[in-house]
Amino acid sequence: MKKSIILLFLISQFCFSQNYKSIMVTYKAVLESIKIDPTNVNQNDLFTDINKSASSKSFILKANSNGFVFEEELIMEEDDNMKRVSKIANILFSINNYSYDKERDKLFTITNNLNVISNHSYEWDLTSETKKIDNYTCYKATYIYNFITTKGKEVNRLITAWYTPDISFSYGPNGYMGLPGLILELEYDKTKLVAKEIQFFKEDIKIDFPKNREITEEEYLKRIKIN
Amino acid sequence: MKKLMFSAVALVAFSFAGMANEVKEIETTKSKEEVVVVEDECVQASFDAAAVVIGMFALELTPLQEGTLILALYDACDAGR
Repeated sequence: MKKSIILLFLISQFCFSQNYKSIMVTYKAVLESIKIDPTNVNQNDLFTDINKSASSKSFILKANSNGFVFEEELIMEEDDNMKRVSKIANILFSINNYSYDKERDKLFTITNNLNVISNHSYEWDLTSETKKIDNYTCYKATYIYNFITTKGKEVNRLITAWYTPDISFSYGPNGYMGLPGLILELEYDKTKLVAKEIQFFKEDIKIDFPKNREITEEEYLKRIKIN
Repeated sequence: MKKLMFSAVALVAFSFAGMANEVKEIETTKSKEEVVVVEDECVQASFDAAAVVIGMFALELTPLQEGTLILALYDACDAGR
C-alpha cells in the first residue's frame, strides 16, 4: 500500500513537471577571483571592484514556446560605476546576454543595444556520466569551442555541461543549447554557472525579446574597427 | 471697374513673371573653412586598456568579446572625463 502511494506521488510529480509551457531558471555564477598584484597600484581598484561584482552574479533564463532570453539579474542598488564594472566582469568571464528566436532558429548575442547573430550549432559529445543536481539526474556533455583571437592565436576551450532530460527544454545558460534537456550546470575556464532555482509555468509566460538591430559579427567588428 | 482691377493685377503679375526671367550675375566668394579634427583620447585609451587587461590575465577572448571589452572600457573612460 505504502509503495503504491509513493509510486503515485512520484508519477504525479513527474506528470506535473512535464505539464508546463515555460520555465524560468536562475543561475548562480561561480567565478574564480582575479589575483590582485599589490604592486600594480593603477588597476587594483578596478580589479577589486571586478572581484566584488563577480562574487554576487546571477543570471536568468526565461524560455517559452517562442525561444528564450538569458540575461543578468540586475542589482537595482548598483551605481553607474558598478554597472560598468559588472559589464567588464562579464566580458572577462566570457558571459553574455543572449536571446533565441525559435521560429527563425536564430541565436543572438545581445550587446551594446545590438542583436549580433551568433553560431549555435554545437557539436556536443554526450557521455553516460551522471550526477545529481537538485534532485535531477544530470548527464555530462562536452564541447570543444574553437576560435581565433585577434592576435591570431587558436584557442580550444573545453565546455562541460550537465543537462537533465527531465526538463524538456534544450536550452541552457550563456547561449549554450542543443542538448536533449535543460542544462543545469555549465563550466569552462574560470566560469561555472549553476541552476539554483527553476520555476515551471503552465502557460506561455511573457518574455521581452530584445528588438535591437540585427547585425552579423563581421559588421559588429567593423564598427569597432577591431579586425 | 472690374476690368480695371483685373488689368492692374495682371500687370503686376506679369511684371513679376518678367523679373523672374532676368539673369543677374552675382559675385560669390568662396570662404575657407577650417576643419579641426579633435582626437578622442578615450578611443586609444580603451584599446590600450584592453591590451593591458588581456595581457595581465592571459585572457583568450573571441574578437566579439574583445570588441565588447573595448567598448566597455571606452564607456568607463568617457564617464571619467
